[in-house]
This record gives sequence, structure tokens and C-alpha cells, in this order.
Amino acid sequence: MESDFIIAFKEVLREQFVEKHKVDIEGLGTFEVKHHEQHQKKYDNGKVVMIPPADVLEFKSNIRISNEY
Amino acid sequence: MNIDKPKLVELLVDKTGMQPEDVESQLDQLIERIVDAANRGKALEIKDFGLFYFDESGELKFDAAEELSTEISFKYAGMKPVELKPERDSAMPPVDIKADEGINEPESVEAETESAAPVLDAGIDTNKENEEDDPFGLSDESDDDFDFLSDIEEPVVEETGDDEIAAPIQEEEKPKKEENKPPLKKIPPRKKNNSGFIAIAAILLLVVLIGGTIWFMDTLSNEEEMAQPVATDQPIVMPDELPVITEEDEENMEQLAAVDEVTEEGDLPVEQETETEVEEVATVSPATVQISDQPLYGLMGTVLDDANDGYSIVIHSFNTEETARTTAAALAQDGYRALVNSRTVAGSSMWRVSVGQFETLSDAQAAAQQLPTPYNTQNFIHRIQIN
Repeated sequence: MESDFIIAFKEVLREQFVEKHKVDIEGLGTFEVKHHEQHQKKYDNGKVVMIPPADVLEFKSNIRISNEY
Repeated sequence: MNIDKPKLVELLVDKTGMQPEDVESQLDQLIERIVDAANRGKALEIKDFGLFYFDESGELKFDAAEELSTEISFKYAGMKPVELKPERDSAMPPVDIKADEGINEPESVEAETESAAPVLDAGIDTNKENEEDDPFGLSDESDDDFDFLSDIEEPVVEETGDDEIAAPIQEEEKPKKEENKPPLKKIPPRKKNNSGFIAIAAILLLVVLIGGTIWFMDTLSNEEEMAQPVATDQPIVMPDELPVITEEDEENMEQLAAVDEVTEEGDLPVEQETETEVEEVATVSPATVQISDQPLYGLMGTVLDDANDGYSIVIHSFNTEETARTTAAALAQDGYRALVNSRTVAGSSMWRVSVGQFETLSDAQAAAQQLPTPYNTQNFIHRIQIN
């Protein structure tokens, strides 16, 4: 496997993620960028923290260890 | 938009210029390696991209690398979680919490019932909710809680009276409050309550005293400094005025200047103008020649009377006119527009040597930062005095 390929792979995925495209790689899983709104988080000790908004990359896969054996 | 595997291969072909079949086989190899590594219980990391691994439930997981996450969330980069409500410890202790404690105190001494802790907590919780509206826990609040507790703990109430006298409810502070936390260890900490509180009160008092003394000494010494002006010829860069004046806006500058010059307002300006003109002639070639090729405002060049309605950067302040003039002459030789102004500061007159003539305060501020080292920080800007 060539390192050029890995680099290109990373770049392509990055570009797709930034454009909020969902990337579905068969045999591996699905990458999707989800937007998290800003929200308040309450801790048990009474602290309330405002969590800023963020775009988060989520990965879902239906591959499990058992599948391989 | 959805990118599936064929589409991804297409994009990769565009990117690499490789043959589609090669790309496809490479991609398959990569996927195989990821799954393979994960199966062997290892995580496969693609640098600057992320980590593939199987979690405890046997599911394939991916953690995006820092770089990738940042890039994806670039819009919100630098946004940090913000705490909205202070933690209980750092909040101002409401008086009523103390009241609760006062009530619980005797009870714990005579027999620590299990119920003591929950009741105490309940009291605090209600208080906490009230904190927002009433951070200082004004008296209504404390009365309510007091009633609430006394209703539940009937037998205790009588004792409470005595104890309250011993430990006054009104003057309350953090130490008490912190001791709310371990309600089970009541007996030992309670006994130390008073001494701890007194110690902290004493320290606070001490700090206030020391602070007051320092402040008093400071003002005293400042007055002394200002009061004995003619004795020394040393340059004083007027540290006291620095922060104040540089930050003031135009109006304030004028006000300050007006205050400065209470005594000599009428006579001074005329004097100054003629003086600067004299200096100009002495140090540099005739001003008329210069006017043609230099801008009206600026840091360098010769002093122009027409530009005297602006601002200047004060870099020296002397007790005697002579030293001020000498310094100004030296600065003029270096090419600066050097001005000498007299101001009455704290009852004595000071001679300010300033450089440059600027139309606006912000121009002057910008220029002040360009000055050589000692002056770029030790300066302030004043309005050139003509009025």
C-alpha cells in the first residue's frame, strides 16, 4: 500500500467532511458530520456550563469482531 | 450529499491520477488492514486522521484526530465551554445556610441521628435554588428555612435558641459553608468552627489594615514627590500620569489639562508658543523652508504652529525649564518635532518635553509605539496647549 494513496485518502475524506458530506465506505462504515447545537450542561455539583456549538464527526459501522471469525 | 464507495474511488482517482482499479485495490487493502488490526485487538492509527479500533462491545469505532476534528469544526474554533453559575463553594454564602447550621449544631452534639444529614442537605438545596435571585440570602429566606427546619425537628428547637446566641447568625462567611460538605463528620469540625472563623476574620482585617497603610503611604509619598519640585533636575517620566492620560479620550484630556492649569491658564500659552518658535529657529534651518516639504502633522521634522491644535507625545517631564529646553534641543537634533510645555501639576510647575504633532489621539498613540525603547512604553499623550 502506497503512502501516496493514504495521503490522498485522507485529503479526499477531509474535503468531504468539511463540506458536510456523508461518506459511506462499504466494508468499513459510515462517516457523517453532525452539528451539535450549543447547550447547557449541568453537573451534579451544581455547576452549569455552556457548551459551545460544534461540528462533530461521527462514525458508524456494522462491522463487529465476530464477523471476522 | 452522500458519497458511497464508487464515488469515493472516483474522487481518489481524481486526486492521485492513479488507475481506478489500483485505487480500488488500495482502498480494499486499507479497509482490510484497519479491520485486521482491530481484530488483533490493536488500534490502527492513520496519522492526522484518526484511530480505528473495536470497543468493548466489539463494534468498530473511529476517533477523529485532533487535527481533523478542528478542521471539521473550524467555524467554532476557539470556543470554550463557559461556566454560567459559580460553583457552590465560590458563591456568596447566603445567611440562611448559616442559620441551618446553627440549628443542626446542638442536635449533632447531643446525639447524631441519621436524619440530621438529610435534613441539612435538604435545607441547603432549597437555599441553593434561591441563590440566583437572592445571592446574599436576605433575611426572609433565612426565616423560611428556619421555620421549615424547626417544624421537622421539634425537640431541637429549644436548644437552638441558646446556641444561636453563642454563634451569632448574622455575620457569616465561607468557612462555615465549606463545612456543610462533610455532614457526617460534624462534631470535630464544628468545634473548630469559631476559631477558624475568627482566624480568617483576623486575617481579613489585617489585610485591610496593611492595604490601607500602603495606600496611605503611597499617597503621602506622591504628595511629597510633587511638593519638592525645584530641588532636583532629574528627568521624571511622570509614572503617575501615564496610565490615566493615555487612555483618556479627547474630552477628558482637555478636562485634565484644564485642572492642571488652574493657576496659570491665562499667561502660559502665549509664552509657550514663542518659546517653541525660538527653539525651532535655533536648532533647525528656517521654518518657512521646511513647511513646504513636510506634512502638517507628524513625528519628525520641525514644529509647525498650525499643527498646535493636535496632540503630542510627552516623553520627559522636568522640574526646570532649562533642562527641558536642553533635552528638547537634543531631540530636535535627532529630527523629532520637540515641544516644551509647562503644566502645573499638584501645585508646582513641570516642564514637559514632548515629540510630534498629531491630528488625532490615535495617530499619536500609533506613533508612540514606534518610538525607541525607553519611550515607547514610558510616555503619555497630551493635547498641545494653546488655549
